[in-house]
Amino acid sequence: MILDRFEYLRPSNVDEVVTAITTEDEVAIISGGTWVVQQMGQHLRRPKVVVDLSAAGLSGVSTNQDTISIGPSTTYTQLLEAGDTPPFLRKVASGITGGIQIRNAGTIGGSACFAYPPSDAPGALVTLNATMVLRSGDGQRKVAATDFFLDALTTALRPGEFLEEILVPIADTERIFSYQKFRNVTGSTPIVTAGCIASEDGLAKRVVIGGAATTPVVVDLAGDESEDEIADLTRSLISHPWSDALANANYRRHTAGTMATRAVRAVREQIEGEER
Amino acid sequence: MTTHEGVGINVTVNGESRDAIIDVRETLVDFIRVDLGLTGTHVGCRTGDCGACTVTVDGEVVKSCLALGVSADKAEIRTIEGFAESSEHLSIIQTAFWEEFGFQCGYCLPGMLFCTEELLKKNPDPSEAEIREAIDGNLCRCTGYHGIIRAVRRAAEETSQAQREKDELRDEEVWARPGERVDRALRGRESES
Repeated sequence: MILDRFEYLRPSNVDEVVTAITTEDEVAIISGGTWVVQQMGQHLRRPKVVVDLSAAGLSGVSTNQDTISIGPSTTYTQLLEAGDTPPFLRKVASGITGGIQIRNAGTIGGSACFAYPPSDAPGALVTLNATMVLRSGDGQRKVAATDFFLDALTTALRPGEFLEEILVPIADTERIFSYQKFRNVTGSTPIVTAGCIASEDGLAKRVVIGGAATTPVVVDLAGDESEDEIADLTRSLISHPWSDALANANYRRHTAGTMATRAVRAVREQIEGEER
Repeated sequence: MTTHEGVGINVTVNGESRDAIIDVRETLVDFIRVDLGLTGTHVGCRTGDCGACTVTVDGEVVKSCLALGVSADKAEIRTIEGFAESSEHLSIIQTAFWEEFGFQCGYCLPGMLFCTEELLKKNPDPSEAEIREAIDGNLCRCTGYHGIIRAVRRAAEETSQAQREKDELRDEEVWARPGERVDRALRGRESES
């Protein structure tokens, strides 16, 4: 039982969501509830209004011309089952911590909005060059995933605004990729994640590190760096390190360098394999 | 729907329709245990780590400590009490856990059993790695998991065996129909020639 009282709203479409979240009171938006409900149970979050998006028709994956549209309430299981899910995101969804139960309830948009640094979603969406479509009573605005994650547990979402859609450019989804994740055991939260999708000219030029810093870190490369250079560069870019009971900042920074090289190596090996 | 507390909901639990007045602050596991009195669904961590509170909601295996009870309005819920088809006999999966010492205290069973069922539905012949992956959202503090892995393997084999027997029975029924018998006989002759 959650101690603090709140009003529960379950809107059935986007307009009702806007109405529900337009209030002076503190609002918590839930979809699968896997983060927020346990936080409320521990009194870490005490909203006056809880808005449940599960019936608002915000799940599903579809392709429109040059973008893939992902509903924020799409669960990881739905991502795995949908035909239009980018292969990179499918790989990410298959390894979500917490087992079948969490993949069935947790949602990609929920994890993005919660912005917990070691979660897979923030780094994955930055790797995919996703655009976050935010909606409020004033209309829509689009924010690049790189600008969406402002700090640990903090996003660009303003009061009265919610994540309506995630857009992924289709061109990025069909190339060679690698997703490397380091964690203590299969069931534990990631320590560091590294995502790399080959560039248009077929090189590993961009690695995105999750878990090492408070927000995803983009490592831009020329494409011909040695592995030591990639590791050093990655470690030097972790300016706001994340630290928790599972791993401290130094450990995460060091691991980030290692995981970045693994991601690049995996992409390079696949590219070489194709050229042969 | 809007309310502070005391909202009327209707759920189907283990096949039975239940009306309830629920406080919106109740998590689904509290609703199931306290309001419905189905205490086979356990509470271990309330953080989604242990899996002891696992149920299915509209066919999806989920952890009920992470959901609000009110969100389950109009849903079909299956708890561990409804796992076997009848209260007289254990299911194939339950029997396999019993035979292979897949549990001691039984606290983790809701998660282990529902995840096994989900796994076997999608993959009737899982490898050890696939079994470990399927149960990775559940913690067991008694068995060291070895008995559980064996139990899931055994459940897989016995489910396949039961399916084969069912298929053979159906074949016999088909065989019994005169028209089909002629078809079969003709097909048999074609393949011989």
